[in-house]
Amino acid sequence: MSLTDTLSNLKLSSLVPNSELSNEELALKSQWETLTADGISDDFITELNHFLSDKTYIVGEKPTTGDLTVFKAVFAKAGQWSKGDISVLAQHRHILRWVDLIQEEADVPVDQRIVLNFDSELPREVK
Amino acid sequence: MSLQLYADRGSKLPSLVRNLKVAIGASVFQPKLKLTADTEKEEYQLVLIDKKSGFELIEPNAIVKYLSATSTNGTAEAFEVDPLEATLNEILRRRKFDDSILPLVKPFSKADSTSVIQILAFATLYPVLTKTAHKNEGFEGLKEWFESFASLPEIANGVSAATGLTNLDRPKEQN
Repeated sequence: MSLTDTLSNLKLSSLVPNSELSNEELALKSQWETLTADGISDDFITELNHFLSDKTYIVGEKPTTGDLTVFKAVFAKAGQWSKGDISVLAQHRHILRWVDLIQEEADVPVDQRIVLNFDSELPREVK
Repeated sequence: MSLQLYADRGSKLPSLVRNLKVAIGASVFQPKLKLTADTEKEEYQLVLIDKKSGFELIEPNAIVKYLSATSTNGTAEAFEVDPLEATLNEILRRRKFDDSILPLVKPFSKADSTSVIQILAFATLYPVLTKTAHKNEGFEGLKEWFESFASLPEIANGVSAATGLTNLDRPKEQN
């Protein structure tokens, strides 16, 4: 199966339906789906990385279709970052951690996954 | 109230549209919430912040939907996506505010200030349908809805708040 087919058929094993989301979670899902549809700009990447710095998923602590929407849009770029130097890894560290989680939970074939070196010594993050 | 709403301080039309969306959303759904300029920050970004929980939203459509859903009679149905929303977002993304966008939006049968999609449509069409020199020929139905929507007091309040906080670059004078 090609990567394109893999991404279009992506499913998460434990998706939480909209009916079980709070207003705050629904708003975050709506926000990131709209921003993703607007295009993956540098500002979008910066905002997403900052947003994911203290969250597991796009709405916080629950996997939703919002994760799949954003994952499909950033997966190719994340693949490029994963091969970059320490500064590139550090700049996108929270997105890469999240991509790794989603590719695991969505059961992306091993040969199509982004490989991250968790032994890399990233510089301390300045907040 | 723990919610704070800060304006987009950009000087182009998309900033005006974004500020219109959230200022009208606040005026309609949470009248005590006012759009303000955060002069302490250098960043020019629009944001809704709940000071108590730290919850933040930066995308205007999501902010309007959240304000609707959490209003007195609000429901989660506010988050349902209207097919027109993608078209309106595309207009904003392309920054194309001229008569060519008018055929993309069908007139609404009745002005309803509590309709999220009407708020988003009104804000997006505002730069085109308020040009005084334009007659918008062929789009009288749309113009009629727009003017009817604009005349509602809660909408007028939102427009006033947004336009008061958005300093648009003036177009260069032509000889």
